[in-house]
Amino acid sequence: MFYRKYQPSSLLSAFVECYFIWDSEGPMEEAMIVESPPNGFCSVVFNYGDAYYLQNRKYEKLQVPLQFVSGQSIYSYKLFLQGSIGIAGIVFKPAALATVFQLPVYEYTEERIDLYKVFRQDVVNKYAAQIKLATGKEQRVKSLEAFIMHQYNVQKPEPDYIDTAANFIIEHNGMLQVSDLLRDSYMSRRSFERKFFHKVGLSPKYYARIRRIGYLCNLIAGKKKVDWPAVFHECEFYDQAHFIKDFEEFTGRTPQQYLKENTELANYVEKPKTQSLE
Amino acid sequence: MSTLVKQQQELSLKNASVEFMFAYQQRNIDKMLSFCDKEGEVFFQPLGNAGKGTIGELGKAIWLGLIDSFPDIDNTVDAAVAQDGESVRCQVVIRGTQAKDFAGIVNKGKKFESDHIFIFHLNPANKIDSIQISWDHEDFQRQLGS
Repeated sequence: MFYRKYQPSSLLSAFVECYFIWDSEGPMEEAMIVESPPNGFCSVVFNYGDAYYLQNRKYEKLQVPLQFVSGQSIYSYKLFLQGSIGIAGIVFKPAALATVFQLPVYEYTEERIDLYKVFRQDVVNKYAAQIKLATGKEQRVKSLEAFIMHQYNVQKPEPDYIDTAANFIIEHNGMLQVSDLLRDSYMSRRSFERKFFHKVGLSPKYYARIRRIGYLCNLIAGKKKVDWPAVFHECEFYDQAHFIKDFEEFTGRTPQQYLKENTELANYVEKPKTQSLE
Repeated sequence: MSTLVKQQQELSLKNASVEFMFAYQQRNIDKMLSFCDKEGEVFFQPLGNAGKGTIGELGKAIWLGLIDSFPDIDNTVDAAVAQDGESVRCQVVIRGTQAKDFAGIVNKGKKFESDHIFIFHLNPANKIDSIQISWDHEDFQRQLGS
C-alpha cells in the first residue's frame, strides 16, 4: 500500500497544503474500511482506481464521484474501498478553494461535489485523463499541480486576511483565541465571521474546534493505549467534560470507543512521508 | 486561456437559508421574510403547540418580539449542512442582552448565548416553506435569570 504526500511548488504554497497519492499498486485481496476524522482541509480528488463508497452522517452509502471537490467535514466519515485503490488529491489550505477558484465553499460543507458540476467539462476530462494515464506517481502529482496552475495563471489570486486567519488556526491546531484573530482583522465581528464563513465554510470558532479535534485524532491515530489526561492537556481543553463533549460531537463516539474501533489510514500505512516536487 | 470554473451556479438551498440568518443578524424582518413563503409553517419546538404557526404571522411576531426585547440580538452561523435535496440544517449561536420582558421572562438585563438548530425546508422556487427551530429553553431561561 503506497501513500505519500508531496509539497507544492513555492508559487502555490500559499494555497496548497499538499498533494497526495494513495495507491494499492494492484487489486487488494480484501475490502478495506478507512475512517477519517474531520481535518480542517478541503480537497479536489481524482480517482483513477476502482469506485468506492462514503458513509457519513448524511449518507449511508454514497458512491463517490470519480472526480470531486470536497468541502469541510464536520464529522468523521468512513470510506469503503475494494479492488484497486488509485486516488490522487490536492489538499487545499482552508480558504484556498474560495481564493483561487472563487467558489462559495460553505456550499460544500460535508459534501463531495462532482467536479463536472463545478468546473468546465473539457478541463476536468483533460486532467482526469492525464492522471489516469500517467506512467508514474510524480507525473500524476505534476498533473494535479497543472490543474491549479491552469486557474492560477488566469486569476493570479492573492491571499487575503481570511486566508491568513484560517491558516493561523491550522498552524495552531485550533488552540488559540479567535477573538485575537478578530482584533487583528480590523473588521467588525459580523463582517469577519461572514467572510470567514463564505471562504472556509464554517464560523471561525467552530472551525477552530474541529481543527483541534482533528489534531487530537492525529495524535492518537494507530495507537491502542493513550494517556487521555495528557492528550486533553496537550490540546488545551478547559476540562475533561469539554474534551469529551467535543470529541463525541465530531467523531460520534466516546474517546475510549474511538480508540478501540478506529480504522484510520494510519492503521494500514506508516505515517506518510512528504516529498518535494522541486 | 479561460478559467476552470463554470460561470453560472444556481442559487442553492444553502444560500437562501444562510441569507435568512444574515438578515436576522441585521434584524431586518422584511428581508428575512423575503426568503420565505409567508404561508409556510414555523415551529419553535421548545414552545410546544404555542410555537406552531405560519412564518408570516407567528414567525414574524416572535422575531419582532425578540428584536424588541433583545435590541442587540445577534447570531453566528457555525455551519450549514444540506440534509437532502430540499432541506438545510443550520447550526447557529444566538446571543443578546435582555432589555424588556419576553415571553414570561422578566427583564433582569442579563445576556444569553444559546446554540440553536434551524432546519429550513425549501420549495421548488427556492423559497423557505418550513422552519423548525430548537434550542435548550431551560438553559436560555436560566441565563436570563428566570
